Amino acid sequence: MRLLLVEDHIPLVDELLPRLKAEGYACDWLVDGRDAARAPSDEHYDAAILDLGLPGRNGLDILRDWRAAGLGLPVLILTARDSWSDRIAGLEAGADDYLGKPFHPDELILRLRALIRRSHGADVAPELRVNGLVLDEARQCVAESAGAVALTGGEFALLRYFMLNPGRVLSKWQLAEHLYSLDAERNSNVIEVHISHLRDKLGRGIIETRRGQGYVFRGRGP
Amino acid sequence: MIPGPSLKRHLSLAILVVLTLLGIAIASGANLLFDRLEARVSEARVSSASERLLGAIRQGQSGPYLDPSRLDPEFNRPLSGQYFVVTVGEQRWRSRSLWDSELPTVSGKRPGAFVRAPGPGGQQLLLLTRVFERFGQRFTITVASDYGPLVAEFRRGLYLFIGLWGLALAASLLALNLWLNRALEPVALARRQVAEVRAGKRESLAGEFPRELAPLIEQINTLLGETRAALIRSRNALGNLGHALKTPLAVLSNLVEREDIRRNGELHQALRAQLDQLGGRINRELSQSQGTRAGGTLEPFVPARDLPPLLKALERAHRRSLTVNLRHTPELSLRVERAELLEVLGNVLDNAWKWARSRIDVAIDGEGGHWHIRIEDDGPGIADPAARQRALGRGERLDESVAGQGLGLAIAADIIAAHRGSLALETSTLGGLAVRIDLPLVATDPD
Repeated sequence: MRLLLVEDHIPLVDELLPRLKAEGYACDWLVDGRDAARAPSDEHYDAAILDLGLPGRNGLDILRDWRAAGLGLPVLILTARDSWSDRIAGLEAGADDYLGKPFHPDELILRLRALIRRSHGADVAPELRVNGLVLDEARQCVAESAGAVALTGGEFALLRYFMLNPGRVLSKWQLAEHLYSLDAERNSNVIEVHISHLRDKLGRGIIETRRGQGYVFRGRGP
Repeated sequence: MIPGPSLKRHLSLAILVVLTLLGIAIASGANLLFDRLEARVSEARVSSASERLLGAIRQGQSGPYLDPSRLDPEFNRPLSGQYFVVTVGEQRWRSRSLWDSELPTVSGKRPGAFVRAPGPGGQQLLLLTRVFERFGQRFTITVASDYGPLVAEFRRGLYLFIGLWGLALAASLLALNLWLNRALEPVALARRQVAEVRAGKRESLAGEFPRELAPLIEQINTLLGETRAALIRSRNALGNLGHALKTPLAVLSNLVEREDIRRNGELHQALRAQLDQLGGRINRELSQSQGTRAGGTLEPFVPARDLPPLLKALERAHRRSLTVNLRHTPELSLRVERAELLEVLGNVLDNAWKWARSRIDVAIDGEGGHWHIRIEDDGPGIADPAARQRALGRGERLDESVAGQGLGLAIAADIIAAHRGSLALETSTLGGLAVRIDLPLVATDPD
């Protein structure tokens, strides 16, 4: 999952980025409102966390521009301005969720998780269940009848992306785009290695290879 | 404020006193003038009558006699008001008009002086007695004339004048009242406009005001502007401070959740509690200042327009939908600042959403000068009265396990109290908590 974080308070960003990374999210971070107004049209983000009081451009205006441009990515507004009239204004501008500062970091992760799942049409349940596979996002493991199968951070992020796009053919390029941030070193071999590890841990049929096209998540289904 | 003396009564009294004194002065003057005029006219009449009477005395064979053909006919008509008595030697001639009465005897008066005395039939007579020498004899001629009719005529005139004067006085007072009402019209207009400013329907007083009132209106507008500016300044300062504090607080809130701090459970909990208290405190003060209308026009709360997005926001925030029954008239509009009432209802509904099993009822209606808002849920409610008090108190968290600052109800109660309303917690018929809010309707006119 690739996120866009627009926030101008650097100490907060310093706290958020490692936490989001630990949760398997690749983050791009912008400070200036004018940059944010342009950003998502060129990149493929799965969600955005948007502060409202930004230098350059107001967060609400940015959001309105995104929506006017037909951008549908889920947006969570993270702001100190959290009166109910502010919240309503935020939702009416096109936000999908609204979180007031200060916030509990777990709360942000929960909301983000729910937001992304909803945007992929998945249920908002404690675990992600797709095609007979149960992914525990909090513990980053797969629940099997025999017990939990632990995953590395890379494997977890990849499997989650697959499970949120079941049946879709995903190219290596697409996967890299959604799993790594701009500053991360992109190596297509890493994806192949992660897929191979997932197959080892969960069974070969879990991810199908389409030659020249990419991969499709099959899970335990027919 | 105790109303001072009435301007109208003041001016009415002044006009009444001035016009009455003027009327008395005119009437007295007229009276004085009339007295002098009457005396002169009556005296001239009596005087000439006595001379003519002397002229009517003839010398005959048997001595002097009165020539009836030369007598004024008035002397012959009984009780005509014109009388004479002539004494010559032993003879005494009386006018026929005297009939069977006598002229009053005037004693002690020297001849040639005018004397006033009551006459026959209540007449008021002016008498003149003169002594003439004619035909070698002494004639004492007394002529009397009734001046009563003249006085009566004047009295009638005077009464008429007083009556008309009284009417003029009443008319003046009436006119004064009408004029004052018209003259005070701009004051009434200013009063209505001030009430509209209070109700948030306008920002300043405007219109054409008379020259005497314009400086006052200008002063009021300046005062309104300055008050508004000061309010906006302090509100913005408080808002900026609050919002500026929240982001570092968010950093601290995240830092506290780091592994090395979490491992020290006691420290983690103590820090967490302090941070929560700090955040709650800021939220509470901010919600007080955010809604405060800094003058300007008020944006009313319209349930039909404002409740659905609020419910949507709540649904998003809680990630669960509930059955919410709204009961209010469709065209209802509350003259309370929209942001403020949204903050109140948002906080109360937020609490209800946390606890409700499946249903929340919201009813809004206005009656008896109050808005009544009732929000009920089918959750567990708060049975203990002490716990209810705590829920409305300071930074109280009833259940640590439920997300949120636990002071939504207190924030709502603060805002309602600032509007001189009341917020009470009761038991709902649905089984859960019922929050009853009574808000006084903002009077648009001080009357």
